[in-house]
Amino acid sequence: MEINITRREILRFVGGSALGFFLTPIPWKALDDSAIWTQNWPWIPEPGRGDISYKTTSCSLCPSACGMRVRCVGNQPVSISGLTLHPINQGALCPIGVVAHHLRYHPARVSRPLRITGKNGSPQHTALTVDEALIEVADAMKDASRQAQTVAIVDGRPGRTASLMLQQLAANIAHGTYVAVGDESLGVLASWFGQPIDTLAYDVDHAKTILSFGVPFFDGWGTPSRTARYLDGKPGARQYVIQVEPFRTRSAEIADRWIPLRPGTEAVFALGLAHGILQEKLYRTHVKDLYEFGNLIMEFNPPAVAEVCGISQDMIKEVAHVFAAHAPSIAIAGTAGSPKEVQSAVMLLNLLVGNIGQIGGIARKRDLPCARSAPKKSAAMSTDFASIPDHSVRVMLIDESLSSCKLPDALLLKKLLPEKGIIVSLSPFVTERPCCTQYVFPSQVFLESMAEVTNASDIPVSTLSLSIPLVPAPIGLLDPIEFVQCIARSAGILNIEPGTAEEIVKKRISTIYKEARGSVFNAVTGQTSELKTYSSPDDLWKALIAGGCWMDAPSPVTSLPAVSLTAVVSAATIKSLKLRTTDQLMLVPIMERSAYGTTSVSPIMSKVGQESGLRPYGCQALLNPTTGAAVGVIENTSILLQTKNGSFQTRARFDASIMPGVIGLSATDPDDQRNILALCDMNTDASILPTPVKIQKV
Amino acid sequence: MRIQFLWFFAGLCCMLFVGWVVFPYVLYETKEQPLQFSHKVHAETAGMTCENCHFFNEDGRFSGIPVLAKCTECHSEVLGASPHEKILVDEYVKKNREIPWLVYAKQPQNAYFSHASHVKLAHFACSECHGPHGTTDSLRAYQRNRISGYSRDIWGSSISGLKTASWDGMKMSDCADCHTKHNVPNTCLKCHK
Repeated sequence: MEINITRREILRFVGGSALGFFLTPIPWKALDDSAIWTQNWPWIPEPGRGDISYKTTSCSLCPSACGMRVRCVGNQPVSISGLTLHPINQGALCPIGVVAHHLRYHPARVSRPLRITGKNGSPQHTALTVDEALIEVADAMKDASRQAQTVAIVDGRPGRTASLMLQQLAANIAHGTYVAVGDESLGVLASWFGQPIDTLAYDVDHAKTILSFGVPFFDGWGTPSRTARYLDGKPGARQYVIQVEPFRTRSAEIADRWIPLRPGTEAVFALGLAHGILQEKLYRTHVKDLYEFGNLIMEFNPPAVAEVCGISQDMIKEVAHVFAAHAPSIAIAGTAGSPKEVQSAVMLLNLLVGNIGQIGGIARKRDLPCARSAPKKSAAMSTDFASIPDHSVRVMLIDESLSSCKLPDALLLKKLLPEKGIIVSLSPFVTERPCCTQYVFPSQVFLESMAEVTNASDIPVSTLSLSIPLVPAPIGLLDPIEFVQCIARSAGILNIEPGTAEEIVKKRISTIYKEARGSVFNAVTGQTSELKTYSSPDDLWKALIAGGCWMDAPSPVTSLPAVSLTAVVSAATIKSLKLRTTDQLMLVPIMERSAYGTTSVSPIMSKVGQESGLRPYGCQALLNPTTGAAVGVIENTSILLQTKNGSFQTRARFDASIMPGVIGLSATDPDDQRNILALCDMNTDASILPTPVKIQKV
Repeated sequence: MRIQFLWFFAGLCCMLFVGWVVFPYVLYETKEQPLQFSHKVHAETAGMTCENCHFFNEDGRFSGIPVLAKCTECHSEVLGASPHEKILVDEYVKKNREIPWLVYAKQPQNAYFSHASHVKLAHFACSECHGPHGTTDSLRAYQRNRISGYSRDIWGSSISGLKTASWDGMKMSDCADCHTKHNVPNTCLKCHK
């Protein structure tokens, strides 16, 4: 029998097969297995097998020095958790600390010294040997000495033994100057009182009221356990936190009170509060010229400030009253890159309520033993960036081995000599700064070298912890002490302390032991005991390298000498704060505010962070739906932002947390961030200001 | 009209046959274990208990599949007439070479599993996850998924994914279902540390 199969019958057969295909496990199982396959690509490194062990150490990624328990398989760190009994972090870790062991594999790691040249956006990297790089840097330093040009040595983590050696290096260089970079607002206060920056700290735990000016208080600022404690605490029993900033950020969301200011009016608001405190006679201070200062800020009365800041008069009066009456209270303005006048105005509030040197205020810490060298020349004394003349620095050495420098690129470039100025950084990662020649010396990352961690800005006593190497570092990397010794040797400077990092740090530990003050947390026993109970410096050393922590005894409460209010916040500064409103659309860059902004994070962490909303997505302009409707922009469309400084194309996204009349521009890519900053107006201290902007649909 | 439907059903049936019968054969490759092992003989004849070989270390870690040294304690020389015992002694014990067992329940590197918390704290019997493996007389063939590289035991014996017993399947969803059933948290970091 002949069977004639027609095209239609074949199609029916295929149709039946297609339906059958979806009724079989083939598509679903293949999809599932393919997904699993992507998790197990053969090139994904697998941790070696071996015995499981646990080691304790201290985190060096920020000055908090959280106690950590590192789980190792065959001596390879595979996971990190917090030490529950540790006096600083009490078991909590920030998201960056949890994955800190990934940093060894960061794609931006450098293994050889680099010379980076080229214009913005097209840097050229040239790999050098350590000797070649040292010769080039030493030549530049010698040239600077011959021509009486400044060599600035920037310390991203003051208070370490390495800091002492950086000071020694600066003291031995003609026109050398040492710059300690810490909390910028505390730096303002330290300069008023002539105190080193690392002797001041916020006593947040004993404060009753916190007035935070844009500080990511619950989003990466300070020690990580504090947010958990705050959220666990009941209103009334915990601190009363007032968050002042234009955007409804995570910190604004969690805080007890959010004050939504117009961007760029923070200093005006702070002076408005100062006015309110003076009017209500709620000040508790012995400043010299309260009356004169009152006259200076007379025009910052509630009606004027309310109009400028876009809030009610009652709100100003209420915040002023709560801040001054619900003592002890602290005003904080610690974000990097905020204008100096904001920091000055905010620190002024602390002066007015008399919290300097008080419990629950701004604590005065005793100096860490061996924190400062006896200055051989005044030039080597710690200074700040403001006191360095613009365009005067021939060589800028930056120690970024523990965390990236928080100073804005614009400020660094402002201080450098045009064309000839160079930046030399010690960093585990490529740190590109535009428009100048830069040398990067590779340093070890966390868990590869010994690092001292001292002086968090939110712990009211001096502390010292040691982060120890748990894995061998690649050959050819330098620790900060080695770096100073190498630079000094190449530049012909002989009187720099010799020895390895361990030998030099051990000497400091011996000095701390001899001082016999404070207490020591022992991570092995989980006990905290008086330092006096330790029988030898070696015992103390062993406790510290096993994840322990030395905490100084609290210093007796002593006020600092009274300062003149009109001297620290001059009439010129106050006059520069314009009391005027604007109807223009304002552009505000939103940069990474939390710890992401100051340290490199695991690439895997970036992925998780983005997915859970911890980091902003890509590059986008955030605007309130009402603003969008007013300017005729549709969500998710391309727009062109134009300021007097240039234009930038991006995508519009509506976000009700942005106040009307404001565009928040965020970016995660460093090149985009630079382009965004280039759009904005810059203050005289290189901080970025809210900038009038126009929108065009593309 | 009927003939037209016949072609459609023929296509449907062919594909169902391919999907449900042929596909599993193609998907999984079968590998024999390097040598045979009888749990039954060891338990019944030699009078051993499970804990003799699969024990917890002093620090709480589970020993898993015993290392060669454990076998050598009894089998430094051939004791019986089993050809597999001879292979054990000649190829592994005398050459001091670890036996490359193919592990039916092997989980990927990104999954953390603690036998201690399941056995010591939750008091699970081994058979809850491993089935009657401890009473078998021989080791069944190991089936490896050609795409994912995993053992078939992870997906379960049925290609449909339908479970017939608590030990039938060791995928994340199986772990999550059991955690839910026993009111244990199912957070990511519980297993992916």
